[in-house]
Amino acid sequence: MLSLFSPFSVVLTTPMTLLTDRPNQDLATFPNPVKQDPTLFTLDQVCIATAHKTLVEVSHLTIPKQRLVTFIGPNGAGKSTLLHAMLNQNIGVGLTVSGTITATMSTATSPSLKTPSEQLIRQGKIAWVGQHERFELPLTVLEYALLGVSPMLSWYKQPSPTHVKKAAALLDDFELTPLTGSRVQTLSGGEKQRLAIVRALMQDTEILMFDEPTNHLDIRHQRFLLGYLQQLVREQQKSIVVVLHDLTHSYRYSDEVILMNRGQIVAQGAPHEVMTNEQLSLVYETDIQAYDTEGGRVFM
Amino acid sequence: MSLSPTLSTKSSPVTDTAKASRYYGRLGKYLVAIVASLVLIWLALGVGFGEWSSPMGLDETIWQLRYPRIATALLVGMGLSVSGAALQALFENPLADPSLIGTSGGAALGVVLVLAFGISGIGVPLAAFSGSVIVCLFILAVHRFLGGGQMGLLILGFVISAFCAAIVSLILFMSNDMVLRSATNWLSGSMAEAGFVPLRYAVISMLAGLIILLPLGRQLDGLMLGETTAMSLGIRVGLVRTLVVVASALLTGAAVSLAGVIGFIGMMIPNLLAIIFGGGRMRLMIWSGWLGAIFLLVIDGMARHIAYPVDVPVGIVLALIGGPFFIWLFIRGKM
Repeated sequence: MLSLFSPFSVVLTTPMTLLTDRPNQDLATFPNPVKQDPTLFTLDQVCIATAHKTLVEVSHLTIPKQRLVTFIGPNGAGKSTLLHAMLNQNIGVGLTVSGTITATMSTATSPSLKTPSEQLIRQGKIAWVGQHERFELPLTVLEYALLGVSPMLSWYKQPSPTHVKKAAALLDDFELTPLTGSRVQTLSGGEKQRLAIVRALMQDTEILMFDEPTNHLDIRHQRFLLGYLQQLVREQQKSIVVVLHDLTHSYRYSDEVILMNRGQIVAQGAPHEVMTNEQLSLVYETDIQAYDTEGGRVFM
Repeated sequence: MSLSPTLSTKSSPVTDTAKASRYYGRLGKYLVAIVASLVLIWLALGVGFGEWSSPMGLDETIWQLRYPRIATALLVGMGLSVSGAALQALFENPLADPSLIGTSGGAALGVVLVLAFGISGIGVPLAAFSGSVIVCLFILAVHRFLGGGQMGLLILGFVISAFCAAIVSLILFMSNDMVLRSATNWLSGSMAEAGFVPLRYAVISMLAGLIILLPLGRQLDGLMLGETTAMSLGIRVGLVRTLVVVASALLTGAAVSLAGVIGFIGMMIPNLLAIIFGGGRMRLMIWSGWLGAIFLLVIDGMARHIAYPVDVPVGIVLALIGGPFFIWLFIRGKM
């Protein structure tokens, strides 16, 4: 049935290719007449509070698509709280979230459809790795990684050999191959964190959100992970939002940095604009100096 | 049965033969397990009168008494184990037991109420089942109203179960000796009443519970990753929670209506199997159901045999044997 259509599509595209002066242009890559909205999330008048105090207050924030966006700021600035609110407005007992958090979805019919952001996670469009992932499961490392593809399978279907190969490749990338058959409860903190990231990558989503994914990793694995995420953005046009503590890494790998302090957004922009000595020293309440070395800018 | 995923290397005659032999090896193991189960059932049918006799030459009346008991043991063991496996995933807690969602408390309340009013016969199992399901649904409704997520459900289940237990104690405190004796028998879990109530109602209820629970296996795995992560896998947490609790109530309520409050097995069997076999929840629930059924059958056989002519309530034997057995496994697991 499909083969009947392919000569049709050839017939339709051929006149177009003849008319252009780029003979190999595929119809699908013609410029989209309607410009796609570059924002991923839009936050308006968002206020997250407990009964006693306000945790986060944001009047307006937009997070761009297809960039590696990093949230930085001191402990208690509200970065994790904000991220959780973007995913799920019922984030905990005693927390109220007011305001609107919308995500801009692009579909074929409506290039900038705004929906509540939490719908995205419920539809399985965001892969999430939290700060404290749970590992009290009687699963092996491979089975845990394959949980990432469970949204794509019906209840009686097992992951296909393709999925298993992909999981094996990712486990290899993150140096977890020797542990493939071990129970997840026996892993070290860093290994568990890398496994959680493998699981998220297995979901193959457009959007990825990680809350302090580098906490338990040594410097080599931190660099590898952030370089990997950067590659995903550049090569596969994914949108990635990360909370980081390390300023040097944040400067080096982010496309955009959002600096938070005491529940407010202090600054947003390119790393060199936001991460100035004065701004950082003020926010972190300690003296921070940037030094340019051959390896990049280092913050101390 | 589903085979757990293995890393497959490039296909070659050697690996193909290896894969084939692994498959047939597994099939062989399943066949052995099925045959062993059938042998145990046959042996259990022969236990009675303080000795063993072949089930072939049994008198008709004896047969009418024994096979419902065997069937009840299998059903109750299966129902409680599957329910326990599901609830341990739901509450992300290896100590979760079917009684946590209020089923035991509700059943006890129902039973004690009808006994205190002098009702007997079919009224008692019916009251147990109704009490179970009603209290369970009540907990779900309150949880929907009050919120609190998974922790909230656990707390509510615990509190309302304790409340039911208190009312049960109060009623027993005010009742006469006969009621007290019957109630104690029920509450310690006994299969002496097996066969007086047709099994088909319990079977229907358990089937309904199984049909709801088994397809949720993968979602239960996802739930064990935490609420936000589960949502990111497209799991509808609230819906799954409700379905699992309702299905567990159906399974446990049926089990309690057949044999009273039997603790331990719902907690112990899934834990054991998780330690030994591991794997996804659906597979774990199936294994728990099967092995839980056989386990309770064996324990009941022992309960009938050891102190003949006294029929020791199976719940007591279970706790006496199960406790040390679990500790032994725990110690072995640590070493």
